Amino acid sequence: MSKRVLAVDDSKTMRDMVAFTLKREGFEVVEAEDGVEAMEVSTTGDYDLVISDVNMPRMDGITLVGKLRENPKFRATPILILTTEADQTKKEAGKAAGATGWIVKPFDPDQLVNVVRRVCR
Amino acid sequence: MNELEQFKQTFFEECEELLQRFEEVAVTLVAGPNDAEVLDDIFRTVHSIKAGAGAFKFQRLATYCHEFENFMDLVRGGKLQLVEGDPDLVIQAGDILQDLVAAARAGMEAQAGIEDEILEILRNKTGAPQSNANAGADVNAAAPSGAGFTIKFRPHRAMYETANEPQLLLHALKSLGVMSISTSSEALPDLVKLDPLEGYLSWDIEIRGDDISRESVEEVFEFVDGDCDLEINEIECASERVAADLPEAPDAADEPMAGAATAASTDSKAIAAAAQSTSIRVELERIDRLVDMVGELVIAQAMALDSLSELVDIRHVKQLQALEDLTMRTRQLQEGVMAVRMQPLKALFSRFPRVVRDLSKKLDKNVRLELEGEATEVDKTIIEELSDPLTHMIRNCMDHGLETREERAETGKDEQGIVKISAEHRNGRILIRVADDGRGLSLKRVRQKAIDNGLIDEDAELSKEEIEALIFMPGFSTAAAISDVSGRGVGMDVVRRNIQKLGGRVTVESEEGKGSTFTLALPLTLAVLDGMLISVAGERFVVPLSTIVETVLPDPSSVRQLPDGGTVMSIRGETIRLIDVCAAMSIDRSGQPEPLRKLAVIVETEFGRRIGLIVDELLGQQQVVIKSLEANYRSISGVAGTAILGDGRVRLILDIDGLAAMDVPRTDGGQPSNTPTDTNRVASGGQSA
Repeated sequence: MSKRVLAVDDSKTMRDMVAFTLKREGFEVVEAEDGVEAMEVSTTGDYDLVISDVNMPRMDGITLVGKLRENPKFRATPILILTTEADQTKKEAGKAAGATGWIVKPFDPDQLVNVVRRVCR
Repeated sequence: MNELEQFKQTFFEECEELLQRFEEVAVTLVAGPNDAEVLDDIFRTVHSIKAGAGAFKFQRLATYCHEFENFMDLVRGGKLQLVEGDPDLVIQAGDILQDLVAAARAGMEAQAGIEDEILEILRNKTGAPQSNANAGADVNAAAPSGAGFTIKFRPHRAMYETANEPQLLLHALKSLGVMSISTSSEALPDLVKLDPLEGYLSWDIEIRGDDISRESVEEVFEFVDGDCDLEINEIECASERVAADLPEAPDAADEPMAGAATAASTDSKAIAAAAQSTSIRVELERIDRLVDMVGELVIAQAMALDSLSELVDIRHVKQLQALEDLTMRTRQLQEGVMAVRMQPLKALFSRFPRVVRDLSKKLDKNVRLELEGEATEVDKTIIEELSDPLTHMIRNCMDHGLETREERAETGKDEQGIVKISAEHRNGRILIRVADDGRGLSLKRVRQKAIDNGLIDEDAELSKEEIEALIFMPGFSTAAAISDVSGRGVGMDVVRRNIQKLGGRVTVESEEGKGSTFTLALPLTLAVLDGMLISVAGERFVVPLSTIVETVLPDPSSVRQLPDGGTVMSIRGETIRLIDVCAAMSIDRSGQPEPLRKLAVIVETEFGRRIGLIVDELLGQQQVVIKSLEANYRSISGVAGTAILGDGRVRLILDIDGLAAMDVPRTDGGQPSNTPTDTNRVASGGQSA
């Protein structure tokens, strides 16, 4: 069975890039535009990985990570946040909220795959 | 992680092709240094390898490709002119590229510094800084001289709470070098006191390799920093010790490991290292020469046996025993040499999961791929030629064979369809089956389509097998049936033609509603041919067994003469041309008794056309060693090559396609001629039918 990933980002380019790269890696990709939509989508099935941007309208990524971790279904699901190099505080905040790791923007597909392999079996 | 290995495998296969192409075109540089197409070709090769190397973190390879690519980019853009000596430089650079790829493939480090000299020259030419050319080079430069690191790693509860997995981190670590690891479960409490969310296990890791930097090790633990006890210590460089330890390295890596997954994968690395040291690369051509020579030996041995067969006498029992021994050893030698060309099908089969996965998404079908017999060994040339036909058959099964999810649900089948590929050796041939549990062939629809496309008459009476075989006819797959997936104008006729080229056959068995099974029967090797020995007017010929469909005793009433002198026969509604082998091969029949009734051997050309060969007698099946006629004499129409039979006699192998194209109107014996058939006749020495 293919693995499912929930890709959350308000930028379509970013979602497309994540989707393209991970589809190539055999993932089934479900997309959401922000934290609110991600929360709705999160109920639709099981996920093996969540990749979320931090800065998004309606609900940001850090809040999303915290909320997902409260759900027993997502307790052991790896969650990666997308952040920029300068955002050391965001990394810390993400981790405190329960994020498994982060991917520093900008990244290329190979880097993304490498990070995903470090957190997702 | 399996998938990654699979992509790596594909990458290295691509590398192999690219490098081969590189070698072919690079030499042409010496003749005409600035051919734009050649330069482009070389650039693309290096570029492609670089991309893959980057993706799989073969840092050293990627860095090297980067510099090489820069150079080629300037050259092809006309910013740098190739001067004298440069073409050689490119060829040399290609050799080193090959070494680096080979090392990466074996999971080893190439000899230190082999690329330095070339890199310096390339950088001089491109004007790039000598060191620090890019981040990759940086890693290289910063690579410590130490032998590696020892790492103590003990996760805390917090690490598990962020869904970080020690196993995955250890895997990532392993990709940096050769790793040995031991797990400590000392902290593990009694079961009653065990808190499932707590971390009790810890690991002692030793990772060795020339190019491991502290940064790369730290990067692995980047996400868990602070959520675990982590101690990273560099192993002091003790070159003497490392050198002394080297011969035992694979064993040492095996031993102190715990943790099943890690052990298994590190194991494979050790095996790869061991394999590297115990195998050599040999040009295929050399092996072929060896195969050839052994073939000669078999013949010589058979002839010796033949001429000494009168020694059936108690006084010569020793000599006979020696001869028997020689026979056995020769056979063993032949098998041994053939085995050198053999490779397991695994490399080929490993591409298919990807094909199936991609396609099942595209078609929105849920498909499970089952593979069986991956260890079956087949001649390398055949493996290479099988990739396209098999891929096409899989596509065909998934697109046409398997039903949609809805259809499957309606018919009470499991939503998940199955495509099964299996391989086995049987009767000295290899059988590969591609089966699906889909809808099967609808005989009615296949028949109708064949009628619509003018392949058969409306009133043709065909058996189930014959109808099924229609799907291999050229022109069966029509425009209407072409889909994005298995269409593209490539039908099963092309598959069949490819398989026939390899001396194989493809058949299909199907049950409507239950599924279809395509079976490929292939020779184990291309150096030996399965032949049917036939005789015509005292001459013997070999007909490739793979082309023979059936043999019939023609009913005189079904045979008709055409006005142009040709003969045709109708068989089950199909009209096929008859070719008298005697006439086609210009054999003098005078003095040879005419058989009461001749046989028609129905054979099929590469393009699926059927013709009947008129022969006197079938003498039986035989494996023959193929010799090229072109290489030793010249090409003759209607003759595919020569075969030396076990008894040492030379026979001609009939070329079915050549015969079909020949214009042979006469049906009786022709005049004696000067064709090499005469040679054959001398060799065969007066047989009578």
